Amino acid sequence: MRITDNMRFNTTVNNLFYTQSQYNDLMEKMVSLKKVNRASDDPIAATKIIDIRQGIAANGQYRRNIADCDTWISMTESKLSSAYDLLVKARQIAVGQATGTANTTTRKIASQDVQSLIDEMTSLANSKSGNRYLFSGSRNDIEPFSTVPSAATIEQAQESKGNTFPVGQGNVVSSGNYTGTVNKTYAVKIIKGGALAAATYQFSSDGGRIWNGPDLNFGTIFTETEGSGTEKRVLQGSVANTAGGSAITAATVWDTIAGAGVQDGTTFTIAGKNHDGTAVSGSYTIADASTGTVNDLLSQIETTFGSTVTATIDATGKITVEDTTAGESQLEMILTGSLPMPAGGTVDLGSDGVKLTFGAPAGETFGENDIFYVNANAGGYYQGNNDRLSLTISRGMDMAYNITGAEAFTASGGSVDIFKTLNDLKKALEDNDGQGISGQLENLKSAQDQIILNQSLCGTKANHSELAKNSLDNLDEKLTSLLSQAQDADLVEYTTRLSMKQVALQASYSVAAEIGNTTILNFLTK
Amino acid sequence: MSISSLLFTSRDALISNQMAIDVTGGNIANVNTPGYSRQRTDLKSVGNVNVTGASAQIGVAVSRIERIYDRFIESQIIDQQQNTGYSDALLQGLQNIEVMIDETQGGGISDQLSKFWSSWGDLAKNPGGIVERSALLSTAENLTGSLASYKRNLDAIKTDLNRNIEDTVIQINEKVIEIKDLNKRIIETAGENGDKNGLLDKRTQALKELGALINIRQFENANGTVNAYLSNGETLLQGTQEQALSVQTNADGGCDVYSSNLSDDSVNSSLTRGKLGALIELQGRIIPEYIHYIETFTQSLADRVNELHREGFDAYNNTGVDFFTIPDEENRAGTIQVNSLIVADVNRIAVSTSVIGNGENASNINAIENELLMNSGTSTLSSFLAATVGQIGQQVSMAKTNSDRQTVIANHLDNQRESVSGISIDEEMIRLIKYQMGYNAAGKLVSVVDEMLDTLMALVK
Repeated sequence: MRITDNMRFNTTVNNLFYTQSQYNDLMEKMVSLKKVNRASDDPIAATKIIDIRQGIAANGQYRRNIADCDTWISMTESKLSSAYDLLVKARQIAVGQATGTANTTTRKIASQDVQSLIDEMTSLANSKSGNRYLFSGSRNDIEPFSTVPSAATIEQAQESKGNTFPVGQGNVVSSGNYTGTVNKTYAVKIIKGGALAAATYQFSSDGGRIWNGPDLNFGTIFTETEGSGTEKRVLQGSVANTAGGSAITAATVWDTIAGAGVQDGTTFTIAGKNHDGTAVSGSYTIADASTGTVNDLLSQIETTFGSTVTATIDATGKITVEDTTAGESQLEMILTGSLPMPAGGTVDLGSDGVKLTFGAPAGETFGENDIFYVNANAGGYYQGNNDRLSLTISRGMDMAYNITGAEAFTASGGSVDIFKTLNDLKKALEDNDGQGISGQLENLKSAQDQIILNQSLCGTKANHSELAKNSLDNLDEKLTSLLSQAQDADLVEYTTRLSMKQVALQASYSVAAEIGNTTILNFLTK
Repeated sequence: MSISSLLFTSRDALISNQMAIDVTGGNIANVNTPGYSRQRTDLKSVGNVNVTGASAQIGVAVSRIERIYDRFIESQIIDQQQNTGYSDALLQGLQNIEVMIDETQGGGISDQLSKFWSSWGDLAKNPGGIVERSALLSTAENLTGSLASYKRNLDAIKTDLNRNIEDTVIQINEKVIEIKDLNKRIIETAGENGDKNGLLDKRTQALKELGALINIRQFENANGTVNAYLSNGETLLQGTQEQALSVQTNADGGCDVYSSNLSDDSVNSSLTRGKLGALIELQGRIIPEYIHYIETFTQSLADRVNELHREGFDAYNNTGVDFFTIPDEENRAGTIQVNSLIVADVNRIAVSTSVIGNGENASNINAIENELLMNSGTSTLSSFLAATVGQIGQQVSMAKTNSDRQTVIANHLDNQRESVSGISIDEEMIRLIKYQMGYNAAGKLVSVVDEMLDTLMALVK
């Protein structure tokens, strides 16, 4: 091959550049101590690094959650342990005063002691962690335990601040006699706004978690799942699965759908977007549940979305909506079931006797999503509710970390009402009622057992969180080492490689310096 | 055969060798001229003298000056230039995108997203806390800010590409005109000796430069001119007639390239190589893909958070309020923001699942972190981002490998061309010595003839 001068120069320069760029690459990795400085250095490692970092960040959150749970649990535990001590004292008093040697005077004095035990017990049952009551369930607006027992009550109805319905004009009134055994919060949500006669609503007996309770299974938000083509979208809903034992079809009469709880006047509001993204809305009201069929709802869906849409229902109650229009389809549907507002404006909230009466002055209307709620107390000393407080302590695992006041101190959640027992004991002492005093001994024993049971529950919870914490520690260690593997540069390896490159680079330089020295010109002398 | 004719012979020898030295000098002078092909003087013997039974050649002349080059290698280089131009421009564009969306160093969207989820987690522990609510608002605003800046950066790259495409098309048109002019001069100098070799070298060089910009097919005509066509057969240059390219902005805010014949269709689809091919691909396919990713991400995030947020109750027990609002459905990532109701009053954040005021809804929203929302239920929002970063990394890494490979091929072809047409100083110096010797010898011949004439004259005396 004929070698020309430019070939020599080009080869030298190209190789020099190549070695230099590799040298630079190594330098960057050594200086940053990372082998992945940008995604293209190692795309797979880059993806891993981001995933791992997200995992570590999430673990940090779980760790903080566990620490908070631990604080709460240990406080609960110590309060329960104090409560146990108080019960021991109460029992000692009861044992001492139940004997024949006790007399009116000693029992009178003992009743004072019991009163101070009750005061202490109330104070510790009402204690807080941070700004939340330990034994109140989720309710935090009043102290969970009162000093005197109350009768079953339905509190005053309350309205949300953001309601369209005029606030503070006394337009909503609670009534009825509460027959429930636990404290509950009832809520009413307006689905279709407007004047009283036109409005529809849903209600909840657990403060708004589940609307309409077990009585009305409609009202689920339909979620969109993508079909295979561009024009097809399937929207899934949960209609009760059976129609009197047979599969639901379009011809099924509403009355025969078990558990759906629909009635005359039940309204379905349809809201969504059609294939080109335009928002559409419509509604269908069951005029007569004994003659109306599912098909009426499907027809209304088709009418709402336009002529290119077909709606069908399968045996599991899944409604499928298909759009035959070509092109980008953005079909979306939210189907909400709701009940008509009765004439007179009084709605029954379930079967426990709670009623709310709406009085809309002329011209005042309900707005969509207006919220009204009312607390109903079953009576007794406890004002809190039975809600669990929970936090996520590891991926996909929530831990309920509270013991409710009902569980720890009342008969409805536990086996004996501790405050009632203590107050009964005090009453018996005051009344010098020896029979009554010994009658409370058994209750006090059960009360002690009840507290011990809850203490052991605390222990279980603490164990649970300890286990979660240990596995988080393990996971963190693994993630950190994986991150290091994916990301960190091995200094030893890179130092070696760098010195190799240095040698290569030096060789390139000395070759470059020699390049002009070997030519015939050096030998042409005059 | 006369003595004086020997003088003519030596004159021809002097002239011929001088010419050869001239050509060698030209080669030495152009040792570093790009595209220069070495030239060689072809000498031939002329004039003969007949002696009984045989004849001898006694003169020399320059038959022609030959340009040494390999047509096959040259056209391979023009072809290779299209690959090199494409892979270099593609790599540069992809690296621009990579820098904008790199998440491997932290501080990017995935970090903001982690903080956003974490804020919901903190709020779940203290549903009433104004500090936690405000912290959530600010992490949410940081997240929307990051999304908007990510989108802005991609938009900016797309807009920069418009300018780049326009500039490249201008360069292409200029190159085509340069080649057209060279074609014209090559026709004009046809049949003459002129400096046709220099024109041919210049034209080959211009064709290589054109190849680096756009994919062309080129043919040489019988009259020595070249034609250049786009890959779809559209004419770019036919002899001395050129068809300029033009650029028009399209509905997507990108650029379409049109040929100046009256066709309404853009020639974008046939621009697949050269710098312009890379720019069109970046603008038409790659950037829109990343914009699509971030738009999908934004939509899934907003839809799912809103869906849960609407179900929850705020501190005033209102429900049905969206957390994020997206004013422009065409530019979701660029316009997503926290609902103005919430910005005005953080108590509007729906933390609770009931009117009693718990933190469950915040917990539920926090749990979206692990929900498989993306890629038909196979990946979380965060791993979707990670996959996007992985993809750009993969593309850059592949483009880098390709660019390296194309450079190696180009270097190899350049070496081959240099081997054939390049100048070796050693060779030229040796030729110089050779021709100098010839010249010196011819000069010596003159003095010998002179002495012969003197001798002859002395005979006469």
